[in-house]
Amino acid sequence: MHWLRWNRRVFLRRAIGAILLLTGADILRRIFLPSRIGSRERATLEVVLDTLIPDGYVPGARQTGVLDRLVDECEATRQTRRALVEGVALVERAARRRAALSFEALPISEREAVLAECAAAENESLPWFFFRTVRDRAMRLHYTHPLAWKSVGMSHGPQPGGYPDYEQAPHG
Amino acid sequence: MGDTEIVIIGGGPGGLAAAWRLTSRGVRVALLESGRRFSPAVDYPQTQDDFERHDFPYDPERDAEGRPRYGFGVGQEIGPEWEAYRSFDRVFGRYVNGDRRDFVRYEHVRGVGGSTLHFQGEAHRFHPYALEMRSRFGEGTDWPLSYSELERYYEIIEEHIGVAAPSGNEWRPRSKAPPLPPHGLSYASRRLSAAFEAIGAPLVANSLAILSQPHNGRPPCNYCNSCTQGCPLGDKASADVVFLPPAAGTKRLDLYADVQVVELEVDGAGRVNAVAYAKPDGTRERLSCNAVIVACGAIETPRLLLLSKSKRFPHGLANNSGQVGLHLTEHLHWSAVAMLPERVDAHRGQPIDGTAWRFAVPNESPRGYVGGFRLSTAHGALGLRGPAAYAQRFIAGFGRAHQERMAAQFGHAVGLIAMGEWLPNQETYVDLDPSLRDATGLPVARIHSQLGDNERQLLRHMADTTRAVFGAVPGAEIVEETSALDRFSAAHVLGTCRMGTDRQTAVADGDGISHEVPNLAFAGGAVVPSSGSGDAPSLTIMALAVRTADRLIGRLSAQG
Repeated sequence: MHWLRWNRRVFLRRAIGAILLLTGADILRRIFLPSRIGSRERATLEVVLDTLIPDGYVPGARQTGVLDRLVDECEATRQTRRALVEGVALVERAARRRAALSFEALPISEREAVLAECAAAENESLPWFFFRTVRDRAMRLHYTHPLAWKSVGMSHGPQPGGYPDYEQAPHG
Repeated sequence: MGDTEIVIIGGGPGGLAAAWRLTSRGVRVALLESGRRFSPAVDYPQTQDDFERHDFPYDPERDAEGRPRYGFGVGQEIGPEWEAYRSFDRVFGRYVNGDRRDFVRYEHVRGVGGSTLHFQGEAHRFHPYALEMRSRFGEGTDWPLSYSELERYYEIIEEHIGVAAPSGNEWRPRSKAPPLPPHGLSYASRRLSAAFEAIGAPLVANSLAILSQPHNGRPPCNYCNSCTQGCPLGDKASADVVFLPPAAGTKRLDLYADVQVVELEVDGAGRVNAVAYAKPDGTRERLSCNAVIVACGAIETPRLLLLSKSKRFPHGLANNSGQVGLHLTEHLHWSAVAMLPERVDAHRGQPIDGTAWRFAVPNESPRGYVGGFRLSTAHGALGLRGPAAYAQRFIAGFGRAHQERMAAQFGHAVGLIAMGEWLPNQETYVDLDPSLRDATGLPVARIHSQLGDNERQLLRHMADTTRAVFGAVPGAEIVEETSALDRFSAAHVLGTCRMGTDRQTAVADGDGISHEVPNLAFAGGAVVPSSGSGDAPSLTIMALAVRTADRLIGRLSAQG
């Protein structure tokens, strides 16, 4: 019994120590969250965007320059900056769990599966917030680009001509 | 400025309409507005390639330094029995995850022109019954003027600003034909006409302060559907477009933009004798006057009065009755977007181009609630201006499959919005926020809002009717519904300094002048005593402002 009590005490000490270390590391990580998105995160993010809005069938996110604008927007607040930094780390970890060197190294179907898992994650969780942050902004930034709105058959914006044909059936 | 006779605070539809009337009748006016002057060609040309990213260039939630513009009370519990009436869209899912109503924002613009800068041009008359809610239905309050008197002023405004509307609307009777012919319904709205007929509520062209032909030197609309983002042409009757130029042309108007009025000062006789305001650099000035018209809307008007405490008015100016800030009403709203089987390109036209008035007569028939609502085609008003709305709200997923769906379904969405009556209740009011301050260091207004049982029953009917319309369109599939049930995002706020004959229950008298301060008048949404059956209030605000301007001139003349 003496042996058991001693081991339990050691175990508890070590467990508490580990919890403190992990908590401290997390606090430090939050405090020292970088003010800019780094090049490694940008590289992964570009692959995420390629997965969300691929080039090929129609112009994709690369052609409409989503990455730079998305990063600019997300760097503006700590919450969205953190979502990007931690979300990118999350998809990289998911790639390694799938035995790939990186998210980029995954086949497209596997990349889509990783993002689909994020989309389906519990509300307000990190993967959920990461996916929502990136998808919502990416779609807005992409589809407000003339290349994208023309690709779905919208011929022109509101002005200067307006839509004097508004009473007619759509053309084409 | 020494010869200023009347100071108007607030440059929205009420303040500018009053300024137009007063200056055209020979009165010298100083108008102080807390927002800036906008330049349509520069600030909202609608010619940008990324046009769909641009909202009206004003943040209704936070000021330039990031401070919240308003505080909010406690969100109302929604209740499990209302699960089927919660806001959602197909991409985002449910908008409000908790069990309490969410305060999203007070939709407004501060600037010369006020909220008409981003309004959708709707120019509705209230139904005559809306002025008699207490005597007819035992709810709300009666207005201290008759509909026939109000109609005189409706006609003045409609002619001046150029209202385009159909004649012979049996649910909104009128003595004279509208000044301009109605706009045609968009193709997308005509696609829904049969469904409206099927539920017994015919869809007609909306009554709009948007020109269908040239009028008073302004061009007609070219149907760009961007009223909410700011009209670049001047065909929409923003107050800065229709009232400011003729008022300024009299040389009797001094306009001060970007100044924040911080207090109204009173003399020993209980009359307002000066207005204190802060300039953008923080310095303060004081302006003497013979009379003041407060026209800051239903949220800022009570705030200014509550801030203006004195020995004579320890609870705020004109508030010895304790009524300032009470009786806030908004409009119930229910909106829905559906995808049709074919392309209709609803981004063309006007934001709210058609309306069914069948249910918009207060308590027309027993339905378990008092009041009414109107149901409108509202494609632009619901943001159907381009493909970004589809990608963000209606077409879920990502990747190649998403791109294919975008190509196949863009142009298929149509929107409906129902707007309904809100009866005053004790839980819906404005006071001063105990902790939030603005740039001048003064408390911001705090908005409290709760739906009563009457509103919930009416909202249910609005939702069910909207669903019935889409249900009558073969192949239509609802992809988004938004509701006042779980979200406060009101634009049509009214009633916090309401008119009435009884000084114990109303702040303003039948002329729109304070019961307690003889040279203090009101214009704007704060004086409107009831919310109508979802009628957009701008036309009524303008009409009442012109009437109050006339009455104030009469009072001041009589006082010598």
